[in-house]
Amino acid sequence: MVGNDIVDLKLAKIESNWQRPGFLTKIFTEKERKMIECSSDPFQLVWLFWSMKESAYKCYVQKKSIRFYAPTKLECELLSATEGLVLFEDKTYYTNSKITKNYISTEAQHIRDAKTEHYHFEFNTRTSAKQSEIIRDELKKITATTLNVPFDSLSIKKNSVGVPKLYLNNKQLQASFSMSHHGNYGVYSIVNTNR
Amino acid sequence: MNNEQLIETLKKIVKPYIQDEAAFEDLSEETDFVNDLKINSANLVDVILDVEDEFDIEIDNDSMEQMLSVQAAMEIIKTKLNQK
Repeated sequence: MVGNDIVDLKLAKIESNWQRPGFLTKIFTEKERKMIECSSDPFQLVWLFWSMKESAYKCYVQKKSIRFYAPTKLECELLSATEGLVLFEDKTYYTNSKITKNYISTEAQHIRDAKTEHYHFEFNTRTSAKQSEIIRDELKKITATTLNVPFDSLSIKKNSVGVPKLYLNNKQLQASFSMSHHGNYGVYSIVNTNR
Repeated sequence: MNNEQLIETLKKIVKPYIQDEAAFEDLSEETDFVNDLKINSANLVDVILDVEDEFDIEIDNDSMEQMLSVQAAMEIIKTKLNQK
């Protein structure tokens, strides 16, 4: 199971004001807020934690098909600058993040160090639907190669809770994958592609 | 405040955050903030803070957890307004 999330840092600066009263308390636990407060780069830590929570949440929704908006229920712990844990109920998600000057991208899994295929995009279009199509096409391309099937036999459709699923000739594949795009950047992650 | 006024006020609140114009034009009680309006999930917290400011209510974490659609938001706002 894999979930991912990407944050375009330049866009995050414009779209969200993390210093807005109430913002931090609605999203972060007391422990996380203390870490943000003490950080030399609070802006970066806010979005690192956010992408960790969001990617772990996407893992959870894939498995349980239950949606909710409770960012403070998922608590982040950092093991290193880029590795961490997200704790939610009795579950632990293992996260790996990539931090560049342009974006923060996190991948969460319920198994530590499980192998994923992932790819980061830098777009020259800002149209959300177009970006989504580019990521889907790349994901289909790599799956077509892995399974040795024609590109056109693959499709991606969202299920009732909005989780995208891969189909081979209308038969749902068990592959766990996740896609995210924000601003100029996008990413896909995929594991376990079987027929 | 009746349902129509409530929807109009919510429309005004979510407008700066929506990324799907067509879904916004067709906004109804069934509209989902994330799946339909494509509101970035980090901006959902802004929607919630704006709702708190607009109606002068406090949305606790349990209520916030359910606030994924126009309908859920309307129910929560009505409940909180009645408690005032």
